Amino acid sequence: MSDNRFNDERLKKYLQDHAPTPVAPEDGLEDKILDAAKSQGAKPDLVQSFFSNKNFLIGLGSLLAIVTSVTLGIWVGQRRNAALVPLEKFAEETWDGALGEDLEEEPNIIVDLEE
Amino acid sequence: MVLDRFHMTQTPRDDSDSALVAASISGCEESFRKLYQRYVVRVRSTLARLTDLSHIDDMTQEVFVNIWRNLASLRSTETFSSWVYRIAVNVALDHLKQGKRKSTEALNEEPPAEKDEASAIEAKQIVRAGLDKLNFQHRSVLVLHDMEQLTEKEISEILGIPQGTVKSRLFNARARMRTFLHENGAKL
Repeated sequence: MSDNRFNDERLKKYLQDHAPTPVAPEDGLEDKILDAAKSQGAKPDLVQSFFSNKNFLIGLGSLLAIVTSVTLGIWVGQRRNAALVPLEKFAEETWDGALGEDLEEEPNIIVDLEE
Repeated sequence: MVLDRFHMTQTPRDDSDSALVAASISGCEESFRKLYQRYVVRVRSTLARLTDLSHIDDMTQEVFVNIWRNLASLRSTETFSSWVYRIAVNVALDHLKQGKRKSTEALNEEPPAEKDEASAIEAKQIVRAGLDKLNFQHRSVLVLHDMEQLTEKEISEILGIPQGTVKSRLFNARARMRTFLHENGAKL
């Protein structure tokens, strides 16, 4: 274990001593890069960054799903109520017409035996 | 209103990364210039070690333009330096995918300062060849850990992989590099 660590440290030292090293940047590269950055937009792209945020997109998706569910629930409820009102009315009318009125009069079921 | 805008774009007294980032987001170009000056050497050396030296200026420009454009998406939980390294690694990977690599790259290599030039050049070439032999996954971990001296935790943040994976990749990358160096006569 300690031998491995020793080897790792020697390797690390060797790599650091002989790592590829770039030359210093050419003169004017700094201004060139900053100009290129500015030409991409006067300021960092807040809108793009806002929408590219993963958590934001997940949150937005969840919110949309909730709003859609609630809206759909309300709509279905309204449709159901709208359908029930005429049905109740129909039931009342039918009951009164078919049964209620008839029941108020005594049914004529007595047969006159003498006749 | 004018004063407000002036304050928004004024260079902050606090010279920390987070203060400079916040000022840059507000449009302060001087703060962004400071960030550039602070990170350009690290970005260039990482790019040179992950790819080659042939398009180093173009890649450097791409990294800093990406940083500028996406500064506002930097999460508060994330350190700016890790984020910069991540962008550099992604730019390097894109560069490799596009096959922009050159086989000869000695022209842009910094000449060694020491007297014993021949052996120093040879050793650098061997290390370069050893890095080229590694796949990008192993190379990125080895470069970030052993050359850029980042911690395993930082590398796991940069590459978006678990720390255990960083460890195993580092172990394998070192083993391959060590074998390559021995085979090519490097004296560790």
